[in-house]
Amino acid sequence: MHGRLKVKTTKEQEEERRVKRAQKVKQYRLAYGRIVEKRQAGERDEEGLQISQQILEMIPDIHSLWNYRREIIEHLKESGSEDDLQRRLESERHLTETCLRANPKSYGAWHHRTWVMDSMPSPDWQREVALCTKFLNLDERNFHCWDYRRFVAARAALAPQQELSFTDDKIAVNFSNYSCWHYRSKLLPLVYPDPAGVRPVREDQHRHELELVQNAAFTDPNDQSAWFYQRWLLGRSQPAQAVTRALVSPGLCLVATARPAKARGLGLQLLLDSRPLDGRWRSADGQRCSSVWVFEPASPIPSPLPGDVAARFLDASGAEVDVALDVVADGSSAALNSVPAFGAPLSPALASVMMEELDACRQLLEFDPDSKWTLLTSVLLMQTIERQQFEAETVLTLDTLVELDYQRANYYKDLRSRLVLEYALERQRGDAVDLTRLSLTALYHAPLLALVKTLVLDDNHLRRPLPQLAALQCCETLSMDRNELVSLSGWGAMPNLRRLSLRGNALASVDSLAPLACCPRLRELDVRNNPVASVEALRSAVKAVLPGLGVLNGEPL
Amino acid sequence: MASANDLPSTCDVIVVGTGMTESILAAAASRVGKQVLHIDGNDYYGGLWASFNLDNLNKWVKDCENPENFASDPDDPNSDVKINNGEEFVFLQNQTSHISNIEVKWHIPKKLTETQVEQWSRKSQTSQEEKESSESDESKSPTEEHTLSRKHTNSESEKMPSVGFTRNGNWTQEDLMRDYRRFNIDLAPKLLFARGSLVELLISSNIARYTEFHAVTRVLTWLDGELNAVPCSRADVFATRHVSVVEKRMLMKLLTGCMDSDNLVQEFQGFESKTFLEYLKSKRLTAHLLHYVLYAIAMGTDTTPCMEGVERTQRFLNSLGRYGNTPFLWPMYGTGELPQAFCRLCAVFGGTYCLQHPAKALVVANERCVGVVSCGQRLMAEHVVMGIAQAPTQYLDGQQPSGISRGVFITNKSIMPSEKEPLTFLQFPPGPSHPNPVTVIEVGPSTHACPQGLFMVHMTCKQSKSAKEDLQEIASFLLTQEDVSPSDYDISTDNRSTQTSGQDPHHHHSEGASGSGDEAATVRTKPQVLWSMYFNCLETSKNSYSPNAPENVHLCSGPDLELDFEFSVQQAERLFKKMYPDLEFLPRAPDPEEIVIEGDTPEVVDEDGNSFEFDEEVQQPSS
Amino acid sequence: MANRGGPAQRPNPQTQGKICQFKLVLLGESAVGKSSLVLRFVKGQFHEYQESTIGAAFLTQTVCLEDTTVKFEIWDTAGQERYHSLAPMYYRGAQAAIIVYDITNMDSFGRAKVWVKELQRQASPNIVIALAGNKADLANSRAVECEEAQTYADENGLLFMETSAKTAKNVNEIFLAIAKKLPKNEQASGAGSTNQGRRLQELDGSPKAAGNCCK
Repeated sequence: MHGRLKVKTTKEQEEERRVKRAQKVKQYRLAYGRIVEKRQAGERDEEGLQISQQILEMIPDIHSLWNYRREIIEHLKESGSEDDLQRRLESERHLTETCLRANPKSYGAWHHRTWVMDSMPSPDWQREVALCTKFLNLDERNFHCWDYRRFVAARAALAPQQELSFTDDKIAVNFSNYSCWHYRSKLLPLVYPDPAGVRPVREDQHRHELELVQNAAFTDPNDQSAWFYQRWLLGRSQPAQAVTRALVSPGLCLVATARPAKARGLGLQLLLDSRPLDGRWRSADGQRCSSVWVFEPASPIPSPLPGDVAARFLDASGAEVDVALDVVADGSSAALNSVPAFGAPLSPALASVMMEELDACRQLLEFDPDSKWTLLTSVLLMQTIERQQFEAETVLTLDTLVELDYQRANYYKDLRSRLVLEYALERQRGDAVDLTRLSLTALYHAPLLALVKTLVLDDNHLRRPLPQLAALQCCETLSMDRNELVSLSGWGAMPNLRRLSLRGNALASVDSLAPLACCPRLRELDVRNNPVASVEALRSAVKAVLPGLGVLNGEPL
Repeated sequence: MASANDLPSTCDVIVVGTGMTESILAAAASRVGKQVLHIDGNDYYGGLWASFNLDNLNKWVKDCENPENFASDPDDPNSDVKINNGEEFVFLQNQTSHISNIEVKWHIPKKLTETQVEQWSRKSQTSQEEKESSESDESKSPTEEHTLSRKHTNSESEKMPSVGFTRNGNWTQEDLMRDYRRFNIDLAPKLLFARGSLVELLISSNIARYTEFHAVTRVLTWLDGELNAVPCSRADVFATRHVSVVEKRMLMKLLTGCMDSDNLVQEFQGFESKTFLEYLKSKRLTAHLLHYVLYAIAMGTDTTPCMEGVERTQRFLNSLGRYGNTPFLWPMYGTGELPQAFCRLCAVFGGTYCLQHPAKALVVANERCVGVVSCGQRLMAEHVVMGIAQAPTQYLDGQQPSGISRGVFITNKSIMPSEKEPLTFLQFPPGPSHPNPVTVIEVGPSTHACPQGLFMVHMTCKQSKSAKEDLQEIASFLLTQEDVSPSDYDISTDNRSTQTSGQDPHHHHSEGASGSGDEAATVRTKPQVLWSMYFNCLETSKNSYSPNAPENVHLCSGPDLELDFEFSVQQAERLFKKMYPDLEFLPRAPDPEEIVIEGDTPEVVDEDGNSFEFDEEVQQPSS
Repeated sequence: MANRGGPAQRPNPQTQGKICQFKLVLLGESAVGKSSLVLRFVKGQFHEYQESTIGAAFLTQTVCLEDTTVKFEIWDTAGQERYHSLAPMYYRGAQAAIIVYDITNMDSFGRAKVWVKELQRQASPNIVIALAGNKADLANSRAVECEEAQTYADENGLLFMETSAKTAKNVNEIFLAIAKKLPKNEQASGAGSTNQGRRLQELDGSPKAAGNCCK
């Protein structure tokens, strides 16, 4: 009987779907082929727009098609009025919206929309803000949309305060949201700048943010995004530019700075009795941006030096800052060798917040002793609060982390190296520094070692190239016995190095020693207990590579 | 009125009564091609599961109070319907016998005095004029003494100020009765777990498209003499300021522990015969957390066995994050919609529906039921399904069923006002004066439970005395039940009216609150009860049926005490399997696209309904 | 025999602008041709001896206006009206209704008036109601005068047309007229918007299905 309703069987439906799919594929091939033809023929016309639209509505992520549309519109723009362009771009905007509705994470469509809006004669930015809000309400973690929102917010000149409260809402919905925390870290310094310039944000707000993150951390310590944000909050602000080491002597003049900088921005000068010396600055490591600068005076340095020797540099605001050097009794040289300052001073209020954070971490660790983010955070907190007090605990915690989180072991080891070195450098400031057995995997703070004459790095885990040794301009004796050096490539040029001991490393070939040629005064080299030591005819081979060498492995060459 | 003779005199299944289980069964039978006749003596759907407007509710109350008035079969079956040899008539009961101890009470004046009306109109004139001018398209209702308030009587629009709002909360009985259609008052209010068996059934059977839901917005608990928002989702835990961060960790760890199926055995080793309370104590939970988990999340008591508590916690947590910030859904227009949705599916697949058609008796021959006598007609069927409320007494097991105590309150504001209209679930923990936990559900106007400006509070617990005795104390914790006299509405002494004005959300909205359920801990005034109703209803879910019932008569329980519809769904499925062991229970109903009409050649249309103009356009240029 | 007529306007994929979805319910006495009207509109078909509407929960069809695509979700009574037992759920939240009577049957017109009253009392106040005098092809057996119905419709603010599912007369037109009259703002966009409830779906609570007016 006609007119009776019947339900299609699954088979019938599958068949229909199959036919439909096949049709779509056919259409797609046809259309795409036509586009390729047109593009090759340089046809930039309405038809191209039409066909590419039909494909993009099915598959929005074909970049070349978006590019083609851009070319067409740019081309047609020349012959049309501004109104035409506006209309065309509005329809373009609509197309991206259609695509995004089908696939809210289409990179191509978002990217194209950015271009569309930037090219539109009279763009409606508020509409774009509303669109972003809508998409983020549907999926608060759509990072494409977050990126687009940042673009829109900048163009629409949205009040950062307003955007900040938008991130508040999104964080409340779901705090596992890198994009949102990240946006927050960009907005906060705008809304609540720190007048002291020490913290990322004003202190009261800083406190609030830390609490927010703490709540996230305690709700779910395994969520990385909140910890990531916390690290931004706790991150040490960049130290202000400063001269940390300086030397003026007839043989060598140098200045080491807290942060690497270019010569022009740094504006270095050496002053004798307030009169600048004439000469030329070059970086110790040959880089344009460096932390150690060597001065080559146009005329010899007077001896004895006058009582008033100073180094001058430009601070962040461009103002000249003079630092006095200590002149030795006989006037033969002047130097600056002050105690380094690691970490910015904390206000009591902030210190107590941090202390609470640390206590909270410790409580968290009672529940989850293996929570790596909690452990790492407690290290950062201890460093921020009171470095001296927590030296042992810092090292211990980092050792635990190395054990627990194998994948990030290298990161923890490097962090540990930096912190351990900082403790050591606070204690040792003489001509000779001993950094034996500190489990170092990296050599941080080399500029602070610029004046050191004897450096011992025995029994560490140094393995990677050491270009930073170039900072050791005064160093005459260096010992790196029992490390893990495999090669010496990238070795920093040390102009005064005379004795180098590399016993007990993994150097295998004579060639691996060749980089030492950058140290012109090297006389004594010890490579005993390296594979290379058993190389045949070692001595002549080394002599060939390092002709200036006088003593090898304790015996004259 | 259609004549009863129109009803098909034979069919596969006769379903008597449109309660929840009956309706699911009707839909299931119809869906697999059985001819279903579904009748109900009432002029409404749902039986003891119905939702009523205020007027119909009053009628229902009257019927319950005077069962003899209750619509009964107008025809004497013996006069028209012949008893054949070997047959007997087994007479059915009147379902209102399941309702007792009804008490309905108004707590507000019938109407305002003339002076008050005048005062109010003068006071609110200015603001009203503005509003009126922007709403001039509204159809004007006949004006009486309350010109200002009557205006919106027929409006469902949410943005408009409600009657009460315009008069600053000074409600009268007349106001409510005038808006009687805008009430949907549930006899058996229940929430659905977002992953409970009813939600899954609605989706899998494709019945979900007939109904709409609101997600419950918050779970509250009663702790230290106060209402507390229970942080139940990850977002809640993150946002709440009522527990310390360490407590947050404890809570999250406990909850994830209950969900970690891999380590469940290990985690609960040694607690198999202990209580959930003992387990929670072993976890060193703080008192607050213990309360949240035991009473609100697991909805348990001090004696809930450990593994049952874990199961309940799992059920709660499993349903989180599917449709909202809590695990629960509430049907728009009330729970009475749900039986109707199943009935619709039954009708869509050919079921015949006839309300106001009471069944008088079963026709039984040789210990089999051959049909039903109704309105002077013999209606014959293979199977008869009916609600237990109407079942002949000799078919019941004789065991006295337990009871449910119900309280319904129309109030002038939420028990805990919030920025957005709240939809609240509150499991009131047992206490010294009330041994059983009380389930409290508060619904607001956007669910169509009541007009703007009002809220409706449902309370349910196991009956121990009368409903009023069982619930009055809890009600007094949350609500003000004292009667309001007309003089309380005196405008010159404005105290009460501002307290009850429904503007509280603004007072309580603390800076930076982000909908986390954190309200400022200021002293709140309790909502005023405008109207209340108490009643008891039998709880028949535990009853079994005596072997006296013919095996093709299938009895369905009435509303049970549990929060969700698990019991009804399971009972319906069980009975269906008994009736049709080889047939599928509510397979998915087809979508419109899957339906073809015979004699029709299917045309290919893609999902969006686009036919392919595309082809031509692409091919044109290349030709 | 199946008479094939032209299908209703197909959605145009190029359409710019928003898509709004509306619930439309059909009301009227049995056998006045409610289902036939829908079938004509949705599938472009007519069956002289149409069985009652088994299995068709609701059908959908789209109408394109200038800047808006209106998607109708059309609910059929499924025969529940036969013994005056239509569930209130049926017209809950309906934004549009077509009340159908048979122009050859005066009773059906009377019944239509009852439905108008019922909707005016029970349904949403903004509901758009259309009155359809169906079976216009049988005008020679007419029992209800067109003028009478028109006057009644005017008095009650209803759209009115005489239709024929058989000849397709005014079928698309009446749906189109309703589409034009429906409010197309965000709030009116049917199921899914915030103050409305939400439909439960297989796609695990992904809110993407909500908010049909993606402006």
